[in-house]
Amino acid sequence: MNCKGAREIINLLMDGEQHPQADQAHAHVSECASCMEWQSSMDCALSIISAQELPEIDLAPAIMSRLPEHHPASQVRKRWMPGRALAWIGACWAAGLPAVVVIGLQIYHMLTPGWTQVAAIRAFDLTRGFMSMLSYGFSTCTALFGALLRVFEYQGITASGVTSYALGSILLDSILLAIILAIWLKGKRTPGLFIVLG
Amino acid sequence: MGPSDAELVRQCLHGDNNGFDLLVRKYQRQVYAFCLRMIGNADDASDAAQDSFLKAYNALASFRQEAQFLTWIMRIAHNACVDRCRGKRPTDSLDDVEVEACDVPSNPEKSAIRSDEQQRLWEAVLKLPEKYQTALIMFHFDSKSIKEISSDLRRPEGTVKSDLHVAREMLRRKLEGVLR
Repeated sequence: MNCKGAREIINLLMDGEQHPQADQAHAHVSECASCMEWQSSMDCALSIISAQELPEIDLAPAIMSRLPEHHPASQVRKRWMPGRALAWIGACWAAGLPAVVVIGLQIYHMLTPGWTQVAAIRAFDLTRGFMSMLSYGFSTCTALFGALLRVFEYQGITASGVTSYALGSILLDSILLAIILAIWLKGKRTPGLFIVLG
Repeated sequence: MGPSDAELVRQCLHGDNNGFDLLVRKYQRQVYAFCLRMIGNADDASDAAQDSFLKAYNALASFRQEAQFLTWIMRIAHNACVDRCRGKRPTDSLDDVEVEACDVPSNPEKSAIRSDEQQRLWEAVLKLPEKYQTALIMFHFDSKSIKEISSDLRRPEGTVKSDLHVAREMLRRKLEGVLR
């Protein structure tokens, strides 16, 4: 038996297992100076952390009597809950409102051609980048508004011709939207990270 | 099977201290034994163990759910013991330690004179990578079986054994130059 084999068996014995070649491993260790030193240093190292009989002691009453009634983290959560919820709802509405305006203008433009066409296109251009940021960042609800905007964008491409800018923009937005929907399908909240990406 | 440590921590963080009470009852003996070994005095060890749990309570929000509560509180207990002893005598770095004998006294009270070495040797243990440290502490210090560790850590038994073997070798090598 070589050193490596003997040490592997000794390790298994330390795990509390049995091995048919245990005697041979012990014999090797007792004859091999290197393995003897290995065994000795291993025993020393393990003696530091080896279990001793645990003392009977009850510290719980003394510890618990020094704690507040509730953990501070639970108080912080309760205190911040309404404010955070309102901020969240407000942000979602802020993100969703331009989308509603743009969609309304687009629908109106489709129904009644004229000056609204120019206004709709300008409003659309101004809010497109803004929407990409906000709709993907804040909530699934506004991401769906984003998805509706993409439909109008496709319509715009078919009407005014394909450009690399338009295609790239749609491709990037579609990828981001797919990621958002995948996260949403997994039941997780859409992350604010996408604000940065947008 | 009772609630997991992570569930008890969550329970406490949601305002129910019973979760922490259960954690204290579950680990108080291990933490006290550890402090006793580090400090060597029963009264100081009891105080250090209590301090450790109080510090753990205050830092509970920072406890990572996937970590092991025992190894986490032992790290806190180690710092509490070092802080407690620091007021009594200066501590040197691990490199300066030379332990003359490697047999740990069976009675922890007798190990008082070597508590300084114990602290620095334990520091080496607690500096091992987390998965190795956890396997080592749960098996050798907490006397859990491979099967129990596998169940607690939700890792295959083979992986636990492999971690344990690597951990022992890492610790042995780390302490080789220190122990003689």
